[in-house]
Amino acid sequence: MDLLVEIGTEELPPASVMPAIEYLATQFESQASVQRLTHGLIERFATPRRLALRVSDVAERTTDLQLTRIGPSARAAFDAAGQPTKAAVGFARSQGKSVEDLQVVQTEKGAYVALLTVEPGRPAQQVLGPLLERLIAQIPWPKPMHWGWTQASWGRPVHWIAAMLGETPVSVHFAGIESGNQTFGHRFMSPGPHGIPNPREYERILEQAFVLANPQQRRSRILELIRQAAAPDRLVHDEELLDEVTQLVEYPLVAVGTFDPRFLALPREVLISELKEHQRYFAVEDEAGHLVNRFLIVYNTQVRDPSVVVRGNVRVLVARLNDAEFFLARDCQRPLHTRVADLSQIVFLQQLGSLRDKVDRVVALSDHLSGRLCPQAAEAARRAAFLCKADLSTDMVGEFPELQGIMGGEYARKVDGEPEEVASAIAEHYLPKGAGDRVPRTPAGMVVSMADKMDTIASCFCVGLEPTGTADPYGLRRAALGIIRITLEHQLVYSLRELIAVALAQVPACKGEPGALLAAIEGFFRVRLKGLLGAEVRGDVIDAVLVTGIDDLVSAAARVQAVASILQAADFEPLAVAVKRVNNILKEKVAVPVNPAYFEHDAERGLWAAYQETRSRVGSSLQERDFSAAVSGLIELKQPIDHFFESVLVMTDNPEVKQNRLALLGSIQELFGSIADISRIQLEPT
Amino acid sequence: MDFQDIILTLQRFWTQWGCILQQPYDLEKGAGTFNPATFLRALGPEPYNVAYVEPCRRPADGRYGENPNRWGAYYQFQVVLKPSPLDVVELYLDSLKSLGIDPFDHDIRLVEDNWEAPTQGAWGLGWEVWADGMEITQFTYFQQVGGFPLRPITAELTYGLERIAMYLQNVDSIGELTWVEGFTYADVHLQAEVEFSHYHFEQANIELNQRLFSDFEAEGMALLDKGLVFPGYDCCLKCSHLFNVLNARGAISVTERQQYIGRVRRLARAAAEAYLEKRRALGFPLLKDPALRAELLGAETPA
Repeated sequence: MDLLVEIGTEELPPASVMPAIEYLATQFESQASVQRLTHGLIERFATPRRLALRVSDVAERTTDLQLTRIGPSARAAFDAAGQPTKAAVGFARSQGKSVEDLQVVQTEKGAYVALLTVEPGRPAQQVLGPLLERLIAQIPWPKPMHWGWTQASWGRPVHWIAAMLGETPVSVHFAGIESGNQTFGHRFMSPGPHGIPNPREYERILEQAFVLANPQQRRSRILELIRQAAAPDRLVHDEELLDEVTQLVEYPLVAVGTFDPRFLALPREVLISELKEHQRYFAVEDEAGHLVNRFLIVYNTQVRDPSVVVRGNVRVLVARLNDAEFFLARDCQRPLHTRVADLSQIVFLQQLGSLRDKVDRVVALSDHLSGRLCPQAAEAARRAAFLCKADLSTDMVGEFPELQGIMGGEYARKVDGEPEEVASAIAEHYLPKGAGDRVPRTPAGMVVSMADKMDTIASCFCVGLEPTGTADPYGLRRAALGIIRITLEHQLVYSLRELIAVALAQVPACKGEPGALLAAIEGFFRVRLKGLLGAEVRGDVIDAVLVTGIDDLVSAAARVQAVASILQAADFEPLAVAVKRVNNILKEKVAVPVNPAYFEHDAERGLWAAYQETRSRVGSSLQERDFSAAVSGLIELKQPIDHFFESVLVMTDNPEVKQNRLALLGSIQELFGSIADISRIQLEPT
Repeated sequence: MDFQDIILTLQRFWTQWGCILQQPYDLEKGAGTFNPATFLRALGPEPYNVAYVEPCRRPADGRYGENPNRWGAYYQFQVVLKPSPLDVVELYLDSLKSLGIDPFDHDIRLVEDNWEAPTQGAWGLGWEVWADGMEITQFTYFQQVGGFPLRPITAELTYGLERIAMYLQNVDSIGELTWVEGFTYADVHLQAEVEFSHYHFEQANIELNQRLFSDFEAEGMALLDKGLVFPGYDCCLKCSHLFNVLNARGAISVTERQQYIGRVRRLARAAAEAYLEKRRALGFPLLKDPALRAELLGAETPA
């Protein structure tokens, strides 16, 4: 039999619809398994006004549970005559049974008496009600709300619950609502109620009631409609907007609006922001990628005359575009560089002075970075760093905060006549804005972006505003990840510790101790780097490498990849065992250098020679930044280390010889330490 | 539909449903939410359904009457339903029909928009209501007011009267709206709008307004200490408006801003607390269900 459960509500926040249905589906699966309720496919339905699951082939009863309770051993349970002993009788009694109920079972430890019982399954009907009630109540809404007198909270007020197993209702209560076998259609076009004869009919009934309940289907339908409407031009594709709009309509319809072509003179980003952020319209561009003066409205009701809807939407958009044009004209009356002074009126963070002060620090950090990474871009980076926050006092950014940086670049280019290098660096310096966003492309853009982010991180750590738990109000995790991604994607080699130290040194009124702050920030970066690499590499492998240092992020990431790639090599495991032996024996650092004169065995001389050769090869591989060659070089040491331990007793009576052997192993440990602490890698249990 | 017809129609609709028709509150305020009929009545367990038109002042939004969509003084129509009825969205949509906004002619949608008023220690969840892409109403289920969690929950519907009128009259600027035949919105309000823009941006006496802020703040706290809730809350409204004037006048730096907001919020919180205490002491007289009243009065702390 199929199960259907639908929760009807008021228009949910678009971003919480899919996570909520996903929670219901995955939790149903795990809860059903806990309850021993077998079932088939789980289908998910979700619109702004409903979440629903349909589960096929739900068993009529939960599965019986076989329980085996082990008692005394068979030998202890029966005497020589085969009669039950006191032990057997006592065990049976303790379980509320008689001795005749006991059986003998074979276990790993031999024959035992046991009581086999069956906990019988329960009717699915009985199990499902409470199970569904729990699931519905436990959806983790980002912002749950109460309504009326309800004690319960949910994403929006709950209006109905439909719950049925086959044609039979399942009783579910939540927030004062009792379940039934009815659903409701489109708010205006077919409100209902509509009876659901059985779960199989669910989406057909809703489709007749102007609701496309399947979110993937609704999404593809919107995409198809807007693509058609964009022709002969093409849609400016926007996944995020498509996801949002999918959860703003139950019955998607598309209309096309047009605006005065003169507004096409507005910067592309301004137009897109107006269309997207404020009105959720899709933009259209021609083949050359220039926006055209049409936009696509996704709406929800089949109205008598769509041109009325279009006219209303055009009016709203045009009023906004007029505003934008007005802001742009006003902003262009003042060169961008004169606005840098305005930044002294804007507080960066309490105790940390104004944004104007921050700009000075970003300029200094940019100088530091471009000196190491791209001296030829130093001048552009310095200028871009000086101007990068100036657009915060413009009307346009006041109105559209998401255009920060972009407007700065635009005004630098058009109003101030700054070189393209400077303008694009200003526009790029907020990148990457999130996990999926691109990193800056230009050298000056990378430098300013990293400088700005590092200053924010160092400043916040200095005044105790580092992230705690899940709270990260200043976006420091994203900032650190941004620096790491820029560094890795552009393969930028520099000292992270030095950069942190320079950033810390220039923060005013720093409360912490510099050494401790540096270590804390470095640790903060290590966690982010591990997170980034963790998508592909095991955590223990990453730790083994990162513990040896992340000062050169590019090297650290490459060493992780290199070590990860030899994990499967035949010699790796014995090598790791050998390294563990080395580490175990070295309780403390050996102060004396190796002296070949104290060698007694060939195995010592052999290991010393192998070490010297490997060190020079690994050293030059590291020099050439060929990390996989460096890592494979280490494998060569496995044989000589093993041979050493087989032939030589390290802890010998002669203190000089003993010290010398420890020093030899110490050198080996140090050599490994330049790549990874391999002893931290967990070996497969054999 | 004339501007005044819109007001009359909404008044008729909501009084027929059962709202008390109150009148605008006679102090300056930035939004209908500040009216004690919303701010205070939302607190505690007593039911209250009320509708009123509310003139609002937002000094910083003044544009000397030159911006088609933005004036420093305008009207809201405020409906406050406590507890929020389960069919409140349907009721609201019916009220739109009474204005001639038919959902088969227009695309009406509820688009998530969560509301927060830092000076009132208040927040709620809800939507902006769109008619063909234009925001015509703010619809909020209050969750907290004056820093106190609410039970029951109040639904607040704030109709943007000028927006709705521009839409219905097919007019592109506030000033051109027909108030009643023969009189435009500008005829009624433009001179005041222009003069107040001059006052708020250029003439307001900063030192006087700062002093008044501190005086009303002290007076408000003293009155609330004595359990005089409404007079104390009036001082909070005064402070809120004085802050808005100083802000428009450019007399508040970014750092000071947070401090001012904090001071108004402290007053609002104290007023909320005093109101709850007073209503409890009075035995929650508007709570008609005797069992519920007994239960709530038996509880140890205010709801």
